[in-house]
Amino acid sequence: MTARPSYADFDVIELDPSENPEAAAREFAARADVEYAQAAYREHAYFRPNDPNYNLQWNMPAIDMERAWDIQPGANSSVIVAVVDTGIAYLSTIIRLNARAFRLLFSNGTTLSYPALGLIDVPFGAAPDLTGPDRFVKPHDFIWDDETPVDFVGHGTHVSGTIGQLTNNNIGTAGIAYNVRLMPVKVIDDLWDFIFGALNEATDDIVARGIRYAADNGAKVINLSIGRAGPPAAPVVEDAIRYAVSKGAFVAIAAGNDFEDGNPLQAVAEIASRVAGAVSVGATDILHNRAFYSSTGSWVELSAPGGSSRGFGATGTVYQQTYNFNFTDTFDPSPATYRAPRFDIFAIQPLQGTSMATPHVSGLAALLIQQGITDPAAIEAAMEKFAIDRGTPGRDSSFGFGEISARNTLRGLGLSK
Amino acid sequence: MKTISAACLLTLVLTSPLAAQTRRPRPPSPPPPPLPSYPAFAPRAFVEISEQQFAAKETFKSVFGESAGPFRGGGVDLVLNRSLFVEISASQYKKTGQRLFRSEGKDYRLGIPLSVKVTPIELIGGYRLRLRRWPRVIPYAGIGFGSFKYEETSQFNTDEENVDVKKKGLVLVGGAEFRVFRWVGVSLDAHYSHVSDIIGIGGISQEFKEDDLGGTAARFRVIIGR
Repeated sequence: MTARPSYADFDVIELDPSENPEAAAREFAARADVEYAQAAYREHAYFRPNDPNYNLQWNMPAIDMERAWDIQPGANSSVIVAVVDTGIAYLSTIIRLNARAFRLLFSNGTTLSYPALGLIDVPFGAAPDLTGPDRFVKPHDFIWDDETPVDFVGHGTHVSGTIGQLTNNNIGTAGIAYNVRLMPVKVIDDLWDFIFGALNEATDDIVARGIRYAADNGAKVINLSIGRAGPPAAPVVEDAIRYAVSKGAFVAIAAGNDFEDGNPLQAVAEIASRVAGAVSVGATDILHNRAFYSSTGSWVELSAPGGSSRGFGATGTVYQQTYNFNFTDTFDPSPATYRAPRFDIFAIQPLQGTSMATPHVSGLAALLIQQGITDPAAIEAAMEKFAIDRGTPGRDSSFGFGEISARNTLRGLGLSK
Repeated sequence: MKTISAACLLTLVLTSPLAAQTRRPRPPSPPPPPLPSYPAFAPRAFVEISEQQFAAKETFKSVFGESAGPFRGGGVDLVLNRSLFVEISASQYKKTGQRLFRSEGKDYRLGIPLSVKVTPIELIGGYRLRLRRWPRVIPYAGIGFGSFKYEETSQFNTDEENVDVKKKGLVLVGGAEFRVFRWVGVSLDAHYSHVSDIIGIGGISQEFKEDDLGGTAARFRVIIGR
């Protein structure tokens, strides 16, 4: 018997490893001077985040995330995930911008004209459930050619939340790899970038440069919740993806949302199917079916929750913290209510798309790196091996190898099972 | 011995100086000593340690870092009429390694402890040779079967994910016993076992297509009894 440990009204008895702890406990329990005896079983956390909006995140249990966190709780800051996207709400600042006049053309032929607002001071905020000390690393903006890739649309911020929203902090929602560092790399422009006169647009070369930048600056995972239909192909992007993988970065690419728009080939996602270490990601809904919009094709390699409002309403979408769109989409619904935007008011927003599915894969990749699978091709192989087959048995064009299973992938293989 | 040889030589020289052309018949060699008496029915007990090279070399090397490992155990045997024997033994191999993932020939160990116990209970029958010239050395060979209990547990496993199965397997053994004292012997033998249907149907063993939990072992025993 060892000395009584602190904070204990019981004694601990060390047994020889060859002894049966249960049998020993029964023997001790039978003694008159022993109140109770038990074998000391190993316990572990049943981690369910306390984030108040976690109950909206069906997508986390859908990939067995709670048990996955027991194995690998959120990775750590040594893993850098680049979000090559529309930027991230990572900075609290005010930027003076010139809002030019513009027109919106709608598919029904309607045109709406908006007046110039002139020079305005636009407030930006750091998403409170995303921001922490040293959370963001090496930000870069290839649309504006500067080092402040602030998000004008909220897409990159939402995507970043699924990857690394601060978790178990009693705020907002949870993210998969909630301890990683995030690298905001802006390569996608949107309406406000145009209104404010951004220097560049989201062309293949800009995306390729963003991918290379991320790889050269230490990103181990690159999330591309972006893409375009093709052909033509995008060899400049393919070269960049191959370069990133050769530098040790795993790349996750959205498979596209165009199933109901002719289901064209997706030029960027298709690249993934030819690169070991890059995966294209389709979207599933709350019932593990293919989301109605999710593009299909032989290039689809994995699927993950992207959400679907069809049949499920907002409940079926993916929630994360991003902007309160009432304050950003001020051109909506008409020029009569048009006013200066602000990007410092946040809300938990429901979005859907393969853009939302892809960060699930990126987050899991970050956890796998932390767990010891560091080679991009091995990360892809692990996710594909442990994916849960959906739809047609075997690999198919809707789900690829199946829907990712975070816990099974992190557990790996035993000897016989 | 040198003194005796010299004395014999001297005797020959002294007694046959004139009879060099004649040959004396060589005296017959003495008969081997009689085998010590042995009971018709000799129960014995033994403890043993063995080092087994697992047939599933790559599997064990990946999980534990080495493809061989020790079994410790003991048992009893019964020698019948000096030549036949039947034995029953139990031993155990215990080791903790890590869960892993393998890709492109490289193992990625995941830091999740994985513990394995292999507990064979073996029943073997065989034949013992008696060498009249070396009565203390008893070569033997046997064949039998084992009931192999295999347990595998990992951190974070549910009960369903743990493994606890028993399968039968073939066992062959051959070696020699050396009688140290009247009641104490030691033996060294080679032990072969083949156990299918436990590994190779999942886990890393399936990746390696290794389905035999047995292997080849060198066993050392200390035997109490005649």
